[in-house]
Amino acid sequence: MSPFKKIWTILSMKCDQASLLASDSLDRRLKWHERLGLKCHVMVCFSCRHFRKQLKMMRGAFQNFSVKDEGSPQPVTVKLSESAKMEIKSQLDSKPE
Amino acid sequence: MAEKTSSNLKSETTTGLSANEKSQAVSDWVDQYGDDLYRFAFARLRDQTSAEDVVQEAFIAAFKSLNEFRSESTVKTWLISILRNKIVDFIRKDQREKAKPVSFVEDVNITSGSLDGNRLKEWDGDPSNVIENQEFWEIFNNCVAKLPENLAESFLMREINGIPVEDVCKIVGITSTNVSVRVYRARVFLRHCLDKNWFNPESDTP
Repeated sequence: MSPFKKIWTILSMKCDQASLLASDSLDRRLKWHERLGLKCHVMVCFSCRHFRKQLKMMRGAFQNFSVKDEGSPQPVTVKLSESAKMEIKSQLDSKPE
Repeated sequence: MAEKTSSNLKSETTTGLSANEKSQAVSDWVDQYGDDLYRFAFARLRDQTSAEDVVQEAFIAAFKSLNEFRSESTVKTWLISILRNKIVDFIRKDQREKAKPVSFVEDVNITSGSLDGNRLKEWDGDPSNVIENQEFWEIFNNCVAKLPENLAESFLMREINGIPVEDVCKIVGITSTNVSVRVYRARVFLRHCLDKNWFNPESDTP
């Protein structure tokens, strides 16, 4: 990408590109002109500022991935039950080559 | 012995292991990656029994095809790729429509996914408040369940399992640009769903 095009990326960024970059930034390291463009855009755009923050919150929620549990006062983290693990292991032991 | 077997598998191919060593190695993986696989399966299928079934199938398939494991991919990526295929099969077999909660705002246009023209409202307060909230998780899981099929798998591999983008490309068979767009659309979708149903339910923004 030419230097002129990079500068143009920074100056002309719209919400669709900025929000895509905000999303990408959770999955890869942005290039410098992308990072700068996003930074400039969110300074003037509150929607994308909220969006960026909300993406992080959603990722945080997945780190605590839980379910509602009627039988307990607290939500319960999603994980493979010990009985299911035992069952899988016993299946593995009984499988011939 | 178990530890030795397990660490061998991280650096080498698995040919030459005895049957016992193989089953021990995969058993170790059940402890190490079982929760990870289950979260992915549960997010896709949203049912404990079905999720346990596909995870079990995936581990048994991994055991049977252990010789095909190559050290270029990490164990987790390899297991997720097997699980992904088991889930695709499961969904194909089980096309029955899940019951939809009554008071749930449907999303129609948002999958085309651009934020232009939408004025987003802030989400209130401290993220740790929602983590403790039963009702939040009900909404959250309903929203995840409504993610369009083709967006869900790439997105959840990233968010739940932290599979590197290049591995997601290989597993799903799409380019990194496709992954980026699918993950983005899934995020826009989920954001919109959580906004409408939890954070700003009275809001009349599109």
